[in-house]
Amino acid sequence: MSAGLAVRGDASARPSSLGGAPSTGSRRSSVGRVPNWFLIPALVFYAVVVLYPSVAGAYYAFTDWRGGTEANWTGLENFIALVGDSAAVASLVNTLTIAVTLTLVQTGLGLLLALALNAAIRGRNLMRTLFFAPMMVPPVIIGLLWQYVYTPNGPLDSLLEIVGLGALSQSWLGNSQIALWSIIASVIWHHVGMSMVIYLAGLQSIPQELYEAAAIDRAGPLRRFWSVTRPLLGQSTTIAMALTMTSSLKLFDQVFVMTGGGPGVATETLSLIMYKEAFVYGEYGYGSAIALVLTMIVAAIVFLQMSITRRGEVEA
Amino acid sequence: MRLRTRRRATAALTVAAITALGLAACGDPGAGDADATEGEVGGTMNLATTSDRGLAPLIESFEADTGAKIEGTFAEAGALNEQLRIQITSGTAPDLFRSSPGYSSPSSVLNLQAEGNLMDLSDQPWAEFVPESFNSLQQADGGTYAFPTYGQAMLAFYNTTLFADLGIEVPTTWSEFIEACETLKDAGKVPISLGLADSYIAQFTPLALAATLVDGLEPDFYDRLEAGETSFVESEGWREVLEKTFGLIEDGYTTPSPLGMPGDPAMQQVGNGEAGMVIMPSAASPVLAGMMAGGEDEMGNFAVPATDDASETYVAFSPDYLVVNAKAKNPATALAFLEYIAEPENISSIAAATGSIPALSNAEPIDNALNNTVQPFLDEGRTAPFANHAWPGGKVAEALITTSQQVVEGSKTIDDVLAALDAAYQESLS
Repeated sequence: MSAGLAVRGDASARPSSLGGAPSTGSRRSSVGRVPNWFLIPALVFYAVVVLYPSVAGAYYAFTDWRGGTEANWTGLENFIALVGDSAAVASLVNTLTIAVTLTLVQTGLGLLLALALNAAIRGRNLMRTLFFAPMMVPPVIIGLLWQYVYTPNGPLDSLLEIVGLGALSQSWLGNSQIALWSIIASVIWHHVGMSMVIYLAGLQSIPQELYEAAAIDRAGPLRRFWSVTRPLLGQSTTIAMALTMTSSLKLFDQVFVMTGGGPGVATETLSLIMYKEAFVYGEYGYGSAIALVLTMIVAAIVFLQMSITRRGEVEA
Repeated sequence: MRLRTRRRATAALTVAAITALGLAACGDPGAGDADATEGEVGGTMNLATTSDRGLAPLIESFEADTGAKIEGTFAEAGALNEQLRIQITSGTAPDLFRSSPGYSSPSSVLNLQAEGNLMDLSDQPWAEFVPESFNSLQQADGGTYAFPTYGQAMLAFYNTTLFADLGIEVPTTWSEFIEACETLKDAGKVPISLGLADSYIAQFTPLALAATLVDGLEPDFYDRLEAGETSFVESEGWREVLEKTFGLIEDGYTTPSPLGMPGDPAMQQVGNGEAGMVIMPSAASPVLAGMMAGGEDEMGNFAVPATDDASETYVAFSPDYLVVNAKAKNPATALAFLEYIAEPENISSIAAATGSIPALSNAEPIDNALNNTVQPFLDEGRTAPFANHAWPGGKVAEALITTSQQVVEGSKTIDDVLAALDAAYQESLS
């Protein structure tokens, strides 16, 4: 593993530190290398704070551990209970709905914003800052802010009233048909700046010559986007979608603050029921089982998604 | 520029695993036992509770008197419960810490007692002053395992200016209560402010009514429930509690669309006179007082009646506890500190500072609106613990919250709520 840390370049061409003679092959192999045992402190730290908790968490998923009492091995009992748990099933459906919607809508909006703000328009830097600014606010604050926005007769209802759409006023967080979508809208508002920045970076890495060549070939704006921009943004799309997918599959803060999973179980997510089972009810074994299932789901979906999106990547 | 997809996929999988499995291993399971009553008062004693409000001057004077040092950690109740559960499991819990009543959370008194994590405080001099109604929340195997720092009651808090302007007398019966709601509604006000977007608030009205309709009129219900002789579905008291709770919403006596209204704006409606009253625990009353133009003086309160016989009314009244760690490193100082704050003037000063009710019967009376309402009920023995504090585990309360929201929304019925309570109760017992 130390090879990656070795000084790159043609070492044989450099003079020895002790004289002007070129280095021999055996000396080349040690110059600039970091001994493997230098990795030990980092590996020990990683094992203690990451590997051990992860493996122990996986173990507890197969037990009935409730915190203070002895942990008894229960095999697949927690997972069988999970399948029959209506709240867990509802939360899985909600989690997948959130993940798919956020990934598609947030990534799409991020791309549109990036395209708009990559053009030579006045005040684009200010607009980029404004769209990215919500990312700097903690999710809990965002949740509280939007909970207020959605209050009956609150800012959103007032705005609708002003623009003549008062009939659309809703109990935004109190109607189980709408509450999940209300939360999704707030998350998009919070995170769309991140997708925008990823796409902006991608757009700025596309060589201008390609657009010039396309213009010579009389390609219009749509054609240039489809044949030049879109394929060359493949890597950005992969990154933006992977980050959005992973963060949305484990969405917790906004749901916890805005609805607590309600009304009923209308906005429950896997992260939320994992938290409730483990830290509110003390069912650490069952909570760990939910965590393990969430891990598998995140891993499988991200792997699948990256397998698909990488097909669209091309080199500039 | 082609991305190293495989490497990224591996990294993504690693991140996913770390994210979800971070729940893990907070320490090895198991609890020990310790004879921790030995030692001299002095040294450093660790304390963890929700706030030093009311305690700070007592800590200062105790430290000055004894030379002991009290290291306090203060956090919001939910966060503290979670933190303590982990500390107890890993053997790093403080000497003296706050604990919830009964079985209401994984780190509540009777759950910790069952695991052998708490010191038996039966022989402490203040134990004889613990109200009998608290027994089911802190006693087990013949021992007393918690010190009631102060008490809170589930009451209706109202805007006195609005009540006076509309000529509303404080109701003492259910009919008078409905009459007051009708007067407020006719005046274009929201009679009862209700913010169910904060889901826990769904418990408040049922808990207030259950003190009378279940604890008062069906006093053996919970004993029979525990013995498997009855159920929530069979309880006339619980059915009436829910019928009256949801009836208030159906009849338009609460905030419109309460499921979309958060708790704080709901309270503000009472503060600014848009709503007449709110049913909530007294511990939240200082927040409401801060929302009123006239402050505490403009805020009145009354016991929520549930029948047409005022003498049948019970008040839901539960304590907030401090407990001593069975493995305390400085048990002598922890016990001495409890004995110090149990002195009548000290226990009253805590209650006065926290806007609560003294929870020991020898406390000096406090002359304020809250205590003037609750004290007669305490004197007559007409108080009962919050029902959720006596339930085995938090899932019964969660069932009440979840299905209540669904009833308000129209997707469930009262029968569904009662069945859900039974199912959660049985699950918690298993």
